[in-house]
Order: sequence, then C-alpha cells, then structure tokens
Amino acid sequence: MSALLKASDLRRSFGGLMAVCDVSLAVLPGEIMGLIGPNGAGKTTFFNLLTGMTRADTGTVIFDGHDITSAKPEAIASLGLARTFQNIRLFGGLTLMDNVRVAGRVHARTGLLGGILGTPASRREDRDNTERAYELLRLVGLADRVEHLAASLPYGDRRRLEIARALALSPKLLLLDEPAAGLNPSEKLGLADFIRDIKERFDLTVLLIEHNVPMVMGLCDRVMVLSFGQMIAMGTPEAVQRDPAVIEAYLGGDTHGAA
Amino acid sequence: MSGFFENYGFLIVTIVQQALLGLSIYFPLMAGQLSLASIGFYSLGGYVAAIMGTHPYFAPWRAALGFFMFPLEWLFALILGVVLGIAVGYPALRLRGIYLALATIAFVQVVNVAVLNMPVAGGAVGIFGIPQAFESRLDYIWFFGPLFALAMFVVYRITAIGRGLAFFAVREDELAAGAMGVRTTANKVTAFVLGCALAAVTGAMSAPFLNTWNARQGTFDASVTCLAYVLIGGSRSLWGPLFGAALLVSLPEVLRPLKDSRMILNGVVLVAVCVYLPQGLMGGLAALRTRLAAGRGGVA
Ligand SMILES: Nc1ncnc2c1ncn2[C@@H]1O[C@H](COP(=O)(O)OP(=O)(O)OP(=O)(O)O)[C@@H](O)[C@H]1O
Ligand SMILES: [Mg+2]
Repeated sequence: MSALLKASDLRRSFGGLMAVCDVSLAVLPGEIMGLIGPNGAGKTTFFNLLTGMTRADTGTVIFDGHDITSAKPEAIASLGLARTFQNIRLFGGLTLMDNVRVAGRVHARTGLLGGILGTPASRREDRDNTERAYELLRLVGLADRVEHLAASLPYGDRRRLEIARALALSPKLLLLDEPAAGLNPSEKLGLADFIRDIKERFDLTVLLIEHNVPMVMGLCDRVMVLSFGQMIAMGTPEAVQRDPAVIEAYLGGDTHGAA
Repeated sequence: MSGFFENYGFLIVTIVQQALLGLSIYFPLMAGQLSLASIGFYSLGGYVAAIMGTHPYFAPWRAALGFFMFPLEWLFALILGVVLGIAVGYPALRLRGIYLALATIAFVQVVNVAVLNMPVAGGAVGIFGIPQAFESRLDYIWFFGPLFALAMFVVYRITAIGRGLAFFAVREDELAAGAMGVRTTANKVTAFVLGCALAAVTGAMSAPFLNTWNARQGTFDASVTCLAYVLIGGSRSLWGPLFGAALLVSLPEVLRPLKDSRMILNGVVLVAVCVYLPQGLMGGLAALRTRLAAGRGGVA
C-alpha cells in the first residue's frame, strides 16, 4: 500500500533551536497514527510543516501524490489535508454555521460576482453547503446552537466545532493537535469513540497529537515519538510503550511529560 | 418638503458623497484590512474626470458624447482604480494592522506629490472650471445616490452569501482561514480593490460636483476623516459609514449658531461616541436593541 502522506527528512530550526530534526514518516491510508512526545518536542511544529504554516528548512512532504513542501496552506487544505489547532483557532465573531460553511466552500465553483448577482448556481451551492454544514454540526452535537457565535461556546464545544469545521473540507487526512486537551473526563471518554466513528464514516486517515496515554494506546494503530525534534521511536502502541528510549525521554531529566 | 431639500439638499448630497468614501474603507475592513488608501484613489479618480472634462485633447470626445462623457469618466476612473488597486494591494497587503495603515498613508502622500508635479494635473492650483453635469448641485444626488445604493447592495450581498464568508474568516483569523482553504491573499486584495474602485469612481463623480479639483482633495486629513466615518458610525455594520458621515458632516452645520464654541462641542460629541460607543453608532444601537429585547423577555 502506498503512503497517503510521506514526509522525508523534514527539518526546521528557530534560531539555534532545532524544533524538528530530519523527521521522516509515511502515513498509510486508513490508519490512525499517534504522535506523542514531551512538551516542546516539536509535535505542533511538525504539523505546521505538513500544513504549510511553517516553511521547512530542508526535506520534502508528499501528500496524495502532490509535492506540498512549499505549497500555501489553502492549497494544501484543498488537496484534502485538514487540521485542528492546539490553541483552538475558530472564527470567534462568526456563527457556528458560518465557521463550518467557510471550510465547506473549499471546492466551490461559483465566485463573488455570481454570488452578488444571486445566480441559481451560486444559490444552489450555498444551499448545499448550508445543509452539509448543518449535518456536520449535528454530528458533533452542536445542531441546537448553529446561530450562536463561536466565541460564546464553552471550551469543550469549541474543540468539537473545530473538528466539524475541519471535516467540512472533506479531508482525506485529518491532523488533530491535542483534541482531548481541556476536555472533562466524560468528554475525553467519548472522544476516542468519536474519532473512530468519523474515521469510518468519512473514510479518513488520522494523525493525532495526544498526551493522554490511555487514549493513544486504545485508539492508534501506530505511534511515533518525538523528543527534542528527533523521532526516537515508531511502532505499535505496545512496542513504543516498552521502548527504553521513550521511557528515558519521558522520565529522564524532564519533569514534564505524559499526563 | 421642497423647502427642506433646498435648505438641506447640499448637506444631504455631501453626506452621501462622503458616505461613499466611508464605504470604500469599509470594504477592506470586511476582510480585516485597515487601509487608508481610499482618499488617494478618490483624488486620482477626480483627476481622471477633471482632465477628461477640461483637457483640449478630449474636446472631440466631449463634443461627440455630450452627457455620456460622465459615465465614460467613471469607467476610466474605475479601470484605473482596479489596476492600480491590484498593483498597490499585492505588496501592501503583506503588511498587517498598523503597518498596512502606514503604508497606505504613504501611498496617499505619493499620489499627492505625484499630482502636484504633473503638469497635466495643474500643479498646486489644480484644475478649474470642470463642466457641470447638472444645473443645480443638488441634482448630483442622481450621481451619488445610485452609486451609493449599488455599493450598499454589494456590501449587503457579501454579508448574505457564502462567498462573502471568506472575507470575514480572514478578518477573524487569517491563519485559520488559510488552513480552511480560504485564499487569504486573493481575498484581501479583492476586498481592497473593491474599496479602491469605489473611491476612484466617487472621485470621478465629485470633480464636476465640486467644480475644481486639486491636491487638497487627497490629503492625510481627508483620509482620517473617512476612517472616522466608519469608526464613529460603526465598523461592523453596513450602515455605519452612512451614519458616521451623516453625523460628522452635519454636526458642524447644526452647531453653527454656537459660533466659535461649536468646534469644541463637535470634538466633545466625537470623543463621547468613541468612549461610550466603542462599536460606533450602529454598534450602540444594536446593543440597545438587545437590551430592550432582553428586558421584554424578562417581563414575559
Ligand atoms: N514560531 C516559533 N518561533 C520560535 N520558536 C518556536 C516557534 N514555534 C515553536 N518553537 C519552539 O520549538 C519547540 C517545539 O515547539 P512545539 O510547539 O512544536 O512543541 P510541541 O511538541 O507541540 O509541545 P507541546 O506539547 O507543548 O504542545 C519549542 O521549544 C518551541 O518553543
Ligand atoms: Mg504542541
């Protein structure tokens, strides 16, 4: 099976700090891959490199047959690579509905002039987009608040809205940056099932950063471990958990780690 | 009623004309871009009309077209606005926030110096005796009114259609907008160019309205005044520019009986609006409406 995403020797430094150091990775279609590592290991930076938000110093990224190493974020998104943000970046002043509809227009054919003139094609497109956005909001359990502003949502609901918004891109690969962070225990419990469910429903491949070890172990087919920008382990959750290098990275020296 | 329009007609036409400039700043603001370039495009649009209206080179055109020379002037101003808007927008919109504002102020200054040194623009004196479209200046409402209605329609449609969401997404969070497939640069430039085009056409209509055109039309002061229309009126409502222009244009007139102290009161009113209605007049109105609605809900 050929990889959906193939990163080769990706490297990025900030000043003297090597945030991501020659990381290579192949994500297979249909798998759920976990990405773990201590704080500051370079996980988010790795996501930023894949999604065009940070330029790589060296290395290449191939996604679904396209070289996206120096592509713009919007081009990458339209190829079907969607993401959420660790620090949640919703369009706070827009309604839940509009948050999702923005992303739903990624493959829109009608433009500004058609929209202003209200051509039948653009009206149909808007209607279909609205319907689909509503479905996605229903899926994440926010259908009762579609006209609320995103900024008015409590924390856990924001994470769900961000996932709905990412799904509106009709992605092939979904990158989730700490989706369980800040959720209460019952929300956390539901999240793993939810991720499994959307993976099946939308035929997704998932790459997720997560500190919650039980969740990673239960959910992921494979796990990759970053420490100080380097990939120190890769394999099944069980193998990675026993890996001395991983234990060393989490326990050695550093006080902060998996929680 | 006719007496009312005779007394206040000129004021009303001026309010609509100024509201158009406010709207031209509102367009880029929809995509979160604070641009003060409008007044530069207004100035250039006015020169296009002034030159086409007075220069001997265009005499045969004027003879052939008659009144239709005016729409042609608008068209030329529009084309200039769009082309120059794109040329200025692409580099300038790489800057954000206050840096973009500064760059666009610099653009206004460049335009100013350029027209002062162009013989065809009449130097510091400017261009005089621009042919009038109407007998009465009040009739210029037939120029500005439809343009204002068109611009408002466009703004309204942008807020109503899915395509318009891209602007607002960029305004809310440019980075996230990109990650959601929004072509951020193209959207910022589009919103900016819409403003440039509107300002240029407004200028082209204003040159005959004001009869003379010179570099004073495109000063930094004028830029700030246009921005004030939007901020005072409310930068999140399409009615903001109109209400802001109405207040700022008419206030000095209404306060005229107060003689010298009127400028003080003028300033006091503006400061009060800024302090007590940070979302502008329209924002204050919306807040009042929600409060009233909530009050009714409490009783029911
Ligand atoms: N834009 C930036 N400029 C400078 N340094 C940065 C930047 N982005 C990240 N870094 C640094 O790169 C390193 C990796 O950061 P990154 O956010 O990728 O870590 P992480 O693994 O996601 O950590 P966490 O678990 O805390 O989210 C950190 O030391 C961070 O301070
Ligand atoms: Mg992170």
